[in-house]
Formats: sequence, C-alpha cells, structure tokens
Amino acid sequence: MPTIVSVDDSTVPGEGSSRLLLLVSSDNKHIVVEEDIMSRSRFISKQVEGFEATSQRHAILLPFSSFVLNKVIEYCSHYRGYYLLEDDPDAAPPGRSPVREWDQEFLDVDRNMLLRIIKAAHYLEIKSLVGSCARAIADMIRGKTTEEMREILGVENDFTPEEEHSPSSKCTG
Amino acid sequence: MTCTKLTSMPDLSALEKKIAEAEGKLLALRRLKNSQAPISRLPVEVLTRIFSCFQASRHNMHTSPSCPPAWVAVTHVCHHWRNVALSCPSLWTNVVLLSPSWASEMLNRSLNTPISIILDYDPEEEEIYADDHVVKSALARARRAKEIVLRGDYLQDNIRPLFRRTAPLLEKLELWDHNRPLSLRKGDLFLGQTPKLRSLKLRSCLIDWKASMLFSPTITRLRLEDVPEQDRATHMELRDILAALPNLQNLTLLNALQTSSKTRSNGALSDAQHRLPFPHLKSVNISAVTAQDVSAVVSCISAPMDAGLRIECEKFTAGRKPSSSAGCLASCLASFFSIDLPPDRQRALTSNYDAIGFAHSQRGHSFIAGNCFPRLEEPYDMDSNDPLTFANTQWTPKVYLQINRHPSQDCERDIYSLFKVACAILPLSDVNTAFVDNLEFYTPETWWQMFGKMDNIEEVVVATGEVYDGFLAAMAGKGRPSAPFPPDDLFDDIIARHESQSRKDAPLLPHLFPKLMELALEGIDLGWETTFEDLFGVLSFRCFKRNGMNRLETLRLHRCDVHAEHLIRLAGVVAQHGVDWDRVRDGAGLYESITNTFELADEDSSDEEG
Repeated sequence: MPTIVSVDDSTVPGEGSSRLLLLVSSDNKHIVVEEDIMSRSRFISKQVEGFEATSQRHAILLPFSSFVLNKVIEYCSHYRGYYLLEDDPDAAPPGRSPVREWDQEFLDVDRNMLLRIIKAAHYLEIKSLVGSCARAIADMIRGKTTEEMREILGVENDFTPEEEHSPSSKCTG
Repeated sequence: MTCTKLTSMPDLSALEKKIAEAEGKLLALRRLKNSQAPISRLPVEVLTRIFSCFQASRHNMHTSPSCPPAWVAVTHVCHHWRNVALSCPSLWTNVVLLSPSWASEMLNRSLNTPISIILDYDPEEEEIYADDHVVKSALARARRAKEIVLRGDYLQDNIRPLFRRTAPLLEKLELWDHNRPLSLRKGDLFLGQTPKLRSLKLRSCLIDWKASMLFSPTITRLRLEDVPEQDRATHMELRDILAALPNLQNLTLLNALQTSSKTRSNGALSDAQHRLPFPHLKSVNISAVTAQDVSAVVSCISAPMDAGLRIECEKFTAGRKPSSSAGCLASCLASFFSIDLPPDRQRALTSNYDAIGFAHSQRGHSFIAGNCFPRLEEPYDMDSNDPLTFANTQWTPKVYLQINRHPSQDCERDIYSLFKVACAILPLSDVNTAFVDNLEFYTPETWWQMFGKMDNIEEVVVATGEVYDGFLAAMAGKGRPSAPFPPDDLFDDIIARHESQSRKDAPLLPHLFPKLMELALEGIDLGWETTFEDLFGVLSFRCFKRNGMNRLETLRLHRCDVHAEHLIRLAGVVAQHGVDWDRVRDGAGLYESITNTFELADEDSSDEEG
C-alpha cells in the first residue's frame, strides 16, 4: 500500500529531502504521496520538474475525486520501481499484451469506475494504466453483439437510416 | 342533414415532413443523450486506444472471406464511435488478405499509414483460397508495409511484386509456403532496400544467401527454418551473414544447417580468435543433425553472459564417436558461457549424454542436461516470444537445476564437471528447484557436495530409480563431510567469476535442503522395507520446523511402487500434521490431493493394492 497520509489544508509537505507531494482531488481531499510512487505519471513528473525550476513546492490540483485518485496511487504503488514497457516513451507501441493478472483484479470494478480511472490515467499520462483499462474495457465488449455493446456502455442507436445502410456500415457483416 | 365542415387536413408530404422533423429531433436528442454517457466523454485518443485493444485481439482479427473483421462492430455502436473509428487510419492498418473486399477497404481507410499485410492460414486445417489479385495488389503497396506475413500455400506467383518494390518501412517479414519451398532466388527481394528490417523469418524457402536483405544490420531477430537440404548455406556463408548482424537479439536456426558430412565448403565457421560479437544477444535456438553442426555455429558466437541457449541434435553421434561429439558440444557450450573448463573435463562432460542444453529466460534460469529435454515445460518459447508481451508479463522467478544421467552408465566423475557448468551459469543462491534423475547410485557425500551450500532450494524432484538410499541418507544428515569442504576445487573458478555469489566461505548447511517445502518422488521403488523406513524417518523429521529448517508441506508420489501398508503409515504421519480427513475417503483417496500437509498425487501412481 502507498504511503498516503491525509493532512489538513494547512499541511504542506516539506521541501527537498522528504520528497513528498501534495495532491489535491476535486473533492478537496489532500493526499500526501511519495514522489517516487507517482513518477510513473508523466504529468506529475513534469509538474515536479516545474517545482524544481522554481525551487518551490506546490500542491497539485487534480480534476478527479479522491476515490479515483487513491485507486491510481494504489496502481502506481504496486508498480513502484517496475519497468513497464508501455510507460517507456522510447519503446515501441504496445502490442497485443494481455491484461496483467494483478491489473485484472485491480480493475475488477464497475463500468463507471473503470471509465473514471482510465480518464484519470489519461490526464496523469500513465500510459500503462490507460492501456490496462483500455484492454479491460475491450474485454467487456468482446464477443458481444452491437446491441449488447450499447447496453453495456449505456448508449443508444443514434444512426440515421441512411447511415445504418451506408457503405461504411457494411462492416456489420 | 347538415354537413360539418372538416378542418383542413395536412397533405401527405407535410405529414412526412413533420415525421422527418420529429425523427430529426429524436435523433438529435439521442445523440445528445449519448454524448452525456460516460463512455462518450472519454477523450478521442482514449477511445481510439480501446478500439485498438479490441482490434488487436487475435479473435477479432480473424476473418473469413465473407466476413469483415469482428472488431469492426465498434463502428456500429453509435454515431460518435463510428466517426472516431473512421477518422483513425491506424485502426485500419491490419490488412488481412483473406477477405478481398475488406482488404481493399482497409487499404483505403488506412490512408498513408504504415500497414501490416497478413495472409495467414494453414491449408491443412482450412480450405481457403486467397484471391491472387488481392494479394498482389496489397503486396504492390510494399512501400507502405511495416509488416508482411505470408503463411499459406501456392504463394510463389503472388510474391512477385516483392521483387519489384522497395520496402523502406518494413520491419517484419515472414514467409512460409506450406505447399512447396518458396523460391526467393528470382531476384533481390525488395530490390535490396529494407533499411528498417528487424525481424526476418523464413521457413521452407530457397534462399539466395547473398541477398542484401539478409545483411540488413538492423535485424534483431533471425529465424531460418526447414531450409531444403540441398540449399542450405555453407558455414562460411552463414558466418558472413551473422557477421553483418551486430544487433541480433534472437537467432533461431531449425533444420537450417548443413550437416558436417555434406558441408560444401570446408571453411571453419568457428574460430576462437574471431568469434563474432553479439552484445545484444538474448537467445540462440539451434537444432541440427549433429553436435558438430550445432557446435560450428555456437562456437563462433560471442554472447553476453545472460544470453540463453537451446540446442538439440537429431543424432548425437551421427557416425562419429560419441565422445568426439560430446567433447565438441561441451567445448562450444563452455565457450558460449565463458566457462573455463579443463579439456579433460570438457571431454568427460557430455560423454554420457545424448544432448545437453541450457536455457535462460527472464522468468528464471534452468540448466538441463540429459538424454533429451524430457519432461520440463520450456522456460519460455524462445521462438515465438513477443518481446512486448514478454515485457508485460510478470514471471515468477524460478531457478531450476535439472540433472539427468544416463541410467546405464556410471558417470559419477562426470557429474562434477556437469555440475560445475551449471554452477557457473546459475546463480547458486537463487536455485530454488532441483530435479535429479537417476542419481540413485550416488553416495550421501555426493549429495552434500552438490547441494550442501545451496540453501534456497524449496522443491526437489527425485525421479526414476530402484533405490535411492544415498538421497535419503543425505536427507537424514548422513555423509555430511567435515571441513575442509568442498574437497576438490569444484567452486574455485566459480568463486573467481562470481565473487558476489561466493559460496566457498559459506558454512556448510546443518541440513540438506533446509528450505525444502515440497518433495516429489517419481518412479521410485519404495517397496523395500529399509528404503521405506528411511523415507518415513526423513518425513517424520521434516514435519517440524526446527533449526532453521522449513517444514515439508507437500509430498508427491508419482508412479512410485509402495505397499499399501506403507501408505497407511504415511497417512499416519499426514494425520498427525493436520490433514483434512474429509479428503481422504479411502485408500484411493491417499493418491488424491491431500492439502495442508502432504499431497499424495496421481491416482494411478504407486501401488495398485492401495
């Protein structure tokens, strides 16, 4: 589990040595987390670089709830120190890699939560987590009919009759 | 009768107009509603990523001539999804040639994005006739191809465009005609222009060994398989090719080498002074007819210490003296792994083995030596490992030491050499699993010498033997040598090489296999009263955690010969240590899985009386 400490608004992590970050969620929860844990996030890394340039530390405001943020931190903590190919900007784009076993359990959440996590991961630029969520969502709709997919994803058929029968719709097979 | 004047009725066209308006409004509302759905609020690039994952599934890629790829169904979910999918050319880059209409559609929708051209079927399993026109038309776009995979039959005519186009983006090429050898000698493939080629797999192809493509320095993976015998490269030709591939990571040569007796050129492939350096090499997998053929290639390779090697020889002796083959193999292995074995030991090393091999993997290491590679799951498939999948897989580290010995020959002396090679390759302290075969003739001292300082072994499999008193005696603490230990220089070189893993100064363990938690006995004759008593004594002793020893948690008997009476006694030991009796229904139950303490596996194992 990550080293997460809930602190008062007034508590700001110390500079330098402790290497702690203060993350503030959209529901105004303050979460202190070790910088090292969040280094997987390119967004956070860029922010931290900015702090170093100004030799000041600030809270990082994030546009998602503490519930989602804690999930992301849990993910980052689990893979702390691991090399994940997908997070390597120099690596080739990921192929058909399966969802890792741990990720599978980690992402065993309801659809809306899964969508919130992928959105947060995208915002934080954690490619490996985006990838795992994307695979999990793809798995949800794999082997389903169009109608079943709509039901799972909560959308309706909004094609015009012409669109439904347009050449591009011969994809229906 | 009075007639009531009817209010003016709208005409039909007006009604249709109103319906259209209403439908338009309804549609707009549906789209608005969809736009508010959580899935629709994902950024386009995330949605595209989901589609890519959906598309990447092999299940969804497979198409039959009449059906589109299954993943295309995402374009029918809603308007937004279709727009996103159609506006993302990278989703349409897998041009699967089995479906002619879809292949053309993909080629168009992918715009100018690099494409993968895939024709992959097994004519023995599927009756498929690829449309020649479509195949040729796709291959005519070789300039755009980053991947070309053609595995099918009757491909010879279809691959003609490949001799007329350059392939500046091509990274992967795979060719295999099931029907007959594919001739690549009709000219220079891709006009010799494949500056990005990384992976080249040619199976059953007649290869022009001077073709520029083979000399692309960008190649990291080379696999040549089932090369027609009369057209295999000479050793010198092969050496020239390898010399041009300094970035090689995976080399696989299966039935691709000339046999020594048929070598066209006498040029020596291996030259200790001029070994070819491959600093990035991860695995080498070679199968050939004779040990000499394998050795010829392996000996010319200078690989990093952690590179893996798997070799197989069809005929170990191939008309030569076994010792000559063995010596040849041992010396090439020693050179590959940079092991400094004295020549006499090298000769001894494999004189009793039909094959000897090593495999390393990210998942762990294994050392296998024996008549063949008989029972182990490969650490990983070196041929098909996808580095991407590989990097994303979490392996359980398992370091496996397996020593098989020819049952009919006394090669106790050799075991030290063999073991020395293993020790030089495996990090000793990491070894956690040992499989020992046909070592029943070894004395307790032998066991101590081999394993007396390997303190992390948790699982031991002892297989095939009539008696194994030496093992049980060693387990019971007998034969533990007094200092100095080891009596010979067994570990000296290893210590010099792996100082950090020095075992010389490590104290001899108080018990053999102190961390043993799982013991498997396979094909062992436990019918002898004394043998059983020894086993029983060892088990009883190992049922407790003491003196830094782990408690034995699992005992597996597989195809063992044991009296029913003895089984009952074993059950008694089991019972004392918390067996779940519900799982022991009757005598037969003993052979089933008994959790908690011992697991006596395999119903058809051991004694029928049971």
